[in-house]
Amino acid sequence: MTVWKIYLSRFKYVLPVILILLVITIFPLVYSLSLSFFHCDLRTGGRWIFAGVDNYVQALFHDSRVWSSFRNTLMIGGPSIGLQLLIGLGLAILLHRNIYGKSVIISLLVTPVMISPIVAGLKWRMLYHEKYGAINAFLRMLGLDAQWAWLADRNLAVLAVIFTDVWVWTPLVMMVVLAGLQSIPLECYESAKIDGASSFQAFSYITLPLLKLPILAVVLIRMIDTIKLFDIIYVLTMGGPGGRTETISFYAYLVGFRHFRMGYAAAISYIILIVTIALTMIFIRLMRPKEA
Amino acid sequence: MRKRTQVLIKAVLIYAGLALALFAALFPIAWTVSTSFKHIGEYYTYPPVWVPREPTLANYQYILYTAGLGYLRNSLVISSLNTLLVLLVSIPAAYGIARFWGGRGSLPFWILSQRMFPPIAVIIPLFLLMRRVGLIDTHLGLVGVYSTFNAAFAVWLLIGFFVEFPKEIEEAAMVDGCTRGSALVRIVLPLISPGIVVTGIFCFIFSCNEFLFALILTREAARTVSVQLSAFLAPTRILWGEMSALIIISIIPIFIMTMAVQKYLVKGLTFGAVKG
Amino acid sequence: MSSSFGREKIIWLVLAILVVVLFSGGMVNAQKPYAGETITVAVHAVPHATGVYMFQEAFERKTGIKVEVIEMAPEVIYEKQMTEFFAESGAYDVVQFNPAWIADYSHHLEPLEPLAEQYDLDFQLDDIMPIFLDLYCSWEGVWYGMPWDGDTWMLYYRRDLFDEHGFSTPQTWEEYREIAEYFAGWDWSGDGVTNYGSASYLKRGRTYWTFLARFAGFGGNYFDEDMNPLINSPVGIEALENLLETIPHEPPGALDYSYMEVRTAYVKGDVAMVLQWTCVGKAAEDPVESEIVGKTGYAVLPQERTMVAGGWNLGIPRYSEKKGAAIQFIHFITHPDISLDIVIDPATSLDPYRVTHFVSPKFRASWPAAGEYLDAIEANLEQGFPDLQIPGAAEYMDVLDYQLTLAYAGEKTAQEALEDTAREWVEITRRLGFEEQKSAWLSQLEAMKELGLID
Repeated sequence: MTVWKIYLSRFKYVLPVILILLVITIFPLVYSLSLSFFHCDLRTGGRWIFAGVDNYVQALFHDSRVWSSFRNTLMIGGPSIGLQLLIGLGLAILLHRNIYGKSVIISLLVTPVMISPIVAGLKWRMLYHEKYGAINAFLRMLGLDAQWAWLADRNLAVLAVIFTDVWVWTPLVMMVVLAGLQSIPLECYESAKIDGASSFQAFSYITLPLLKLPILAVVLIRMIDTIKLFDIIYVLTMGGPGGRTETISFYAYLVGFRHFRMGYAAAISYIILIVTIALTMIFIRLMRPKEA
Repeated sequence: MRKRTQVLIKAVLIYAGLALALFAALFPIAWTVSTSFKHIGEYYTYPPVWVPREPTLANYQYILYTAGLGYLRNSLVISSLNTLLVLLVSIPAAYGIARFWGGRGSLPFWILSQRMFPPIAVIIPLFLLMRRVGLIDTHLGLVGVYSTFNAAFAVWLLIGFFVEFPKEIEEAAMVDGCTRGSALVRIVLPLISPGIVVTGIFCFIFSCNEFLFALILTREAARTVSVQLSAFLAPTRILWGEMSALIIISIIPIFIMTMAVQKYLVKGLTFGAVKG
Repeated sequence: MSSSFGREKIIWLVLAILVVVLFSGGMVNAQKPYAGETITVAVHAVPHATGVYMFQEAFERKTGIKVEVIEMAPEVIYEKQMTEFFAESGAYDVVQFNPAWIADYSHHLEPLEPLAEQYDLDFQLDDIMPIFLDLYCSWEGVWYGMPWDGDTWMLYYRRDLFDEHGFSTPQTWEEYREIAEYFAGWDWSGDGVTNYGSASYLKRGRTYWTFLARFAGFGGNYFDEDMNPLINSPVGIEALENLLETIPHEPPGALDYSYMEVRTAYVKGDVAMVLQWTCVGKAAEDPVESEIVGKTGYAVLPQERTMVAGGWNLGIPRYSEKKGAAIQFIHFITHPDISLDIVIDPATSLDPYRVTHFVSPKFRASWPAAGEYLDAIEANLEQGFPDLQIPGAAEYMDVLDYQLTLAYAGEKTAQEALEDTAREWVEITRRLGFEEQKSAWLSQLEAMKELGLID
């Protein structure tokens, strides 16, 4: 009886969020899961024709673009998240002190993420133009003979997408780490100082461990969002040149919303979901070995 | 003496680093500001023009009088309601998960998974669902849909702050006669305000910037800024000036909000400033 | 007592006013059967929507119908409309759609002929350019759309340069490549910056038109009569190799050039010629944007075939509950006089599609070379080659587009890219139903033959 009571009293904290999520997502998830076992093409009327696991077999074994777009997502997402974490962490540490004009500086540094990524991508497309773009113009001002076609070269285009993604999302990492730093009680440092620790030691033995959970959370969120990376690609490169920047979510978008093969798009989406879950679990295990 | 030079060098390095970051962050923003005052003839020039020769307010007039303010209002209403809703349900959830389940288990993972699903596959059933209950093209519809991915973000971020929060402070309050609920509201929340503020800001920003759901689930009455911005991307003519003006106008409220909540963000400093 | 009398008086007064209002309403309704109705028109955002805004009030004055314009991002109009159709929502009463989607849309659009008869409206169809009317507005003999924007590609070249260096307009794609090569990589404009030969839409998304323009010129077609892809035929490979050999003579960022960059490169004087839609001609004569006003020559595409790429129609979704008012609107906005004002105004980016547009003295006097420009459009339309229109056309083209960009980037040879395209086309046909696709294609083929586009 009392056990139940305790359980209930704890459960009431999480109940609202569970209810909201269930109400909104249960129908779409069940619908798309069933859809993934059917052929359904909106262009020819949207009839559901049972397909068994055909869609999954097709995606995994007969569609090379699924694999290449997963690879592209990794090639873009890996370096991008790494840079975001490094720069975000660095900036947060720089900002975690008394600085003149701090609140203005923070707000200005956060502006990139305030712009909808769909237009941020467009802005960058203009900046990357080899002749009229401001980036090459700036490099020319520095004395370089910059006529680089950022978005037309297979390798530069990948870099260009990474830069844009880093530009947009670094402020998120920075702010989360900064908030984490602000929440660390001063006493921890004082005791370290008494023990004669250098500031580097204090950072690696006190600050970082205490920041672990916020960093874990923000990296997880960025990882999940990067697998869903679509809007920047859509306006910046459309997956080109030579398919090098076609990410898995962009491909899923094409299949679902350009070709209207809803069954196949649902199957690809579930494959994306499974891959995301697997990556997330591995990552959580790595960060929190105690749980294993 | 040597120590002083060291401090000086350090200060120079810190400000140089920040200046570099500011430059990188603001370069495209400055370009946007500049473009918002340009005529069509100056969008593409060689070399690029930073200060328009004949600055025009036409782009802002177009946004203010013809197309823009209504969409901005929709974005702000949807994002504020969504942020409130998400914080309201996520704070207790994150607290509960942190305190009673040690921040682990399948429940937080399930909540996180709400953010993982690619929108492409859920958007059609969501459209059908929303249509059935009459929520297409309404603020409420988007507030609900956005709460799925924002709750995942908010719960996960807040769990970290709750777990790191020293239990002893909270327990001391409960010994002094607070209930768990009032200890949470009176003692814990004020102390982790930086985390809550950052969570709120980004829930707001995620809602403001979301594109695909907003595109499919709205028509005209509830259309948001990000959908309207995409409408300026005409194949025959990209309306760079109008687009830039709307970007600048839509940044302003978020910027002011970020400035306004800074004192809660910096508040942590009074407890624990690290000397440079 | 007195107060109740007052109340009674007020009630009578209200009743009287109601009667008058209803009666006068009835009078209005007798002449304007749809007065007070509001229709929702889903069109591309400005600039196209400007065409509606220009005559929104005049239409309301004439018919009493209010028009609510929903501006849509052109990039996403297909997805957005298909979703609404799928849910049979009736959210839109008039939609703007691309002729290449007409087979997909035919399930969802109302045939216009019965409506036109029911409401006794004359659309003056004889006045519409045949390729638009017979191919782009109808599907399997049923009329679904009225043109709204008559697009075609054409060849723009720098007349001053061609004269100075002794070139005439290219008659073959090989000549086109040679001219591009001649003008590429040196500073012929004398401003200290390197110039290039040509620019074309090579970015992923719509570059298939750049290839198809050549493909049609070399004598290619989409499928044979048994629905076998012809895209990988020898002429296809020849056409793609010609294109691949032309790319080095285009600006360094050419692989990322979409419409916007091509247009900019041309009107800023970076390149000597471009293949583009009709609206570039107007932009090149607009001194606000253009640095080459008055220097443009207009020509047909080489090898006697022009890609009539895109164009836009207006149609009425089956699920609309206000079809009567909707057909009134389409009739009004495509009327010869009104549509003439719309296509003349460069602010709309909408292009001529009626015979009367091409002969209009007003249009021909818009700028010195406007007459020449209109003649060139007409000549291009006469040798026009249409988009693929069968069900799933967008997917066939997307696959081709993807493979082309692989060839541009050097990841595949011309032959490999087109072989892979053909293989995927067979697969798409199988998936959508071979017999259905074949009969749809034969129907398009028939229409093309009737227009004399193929033998």
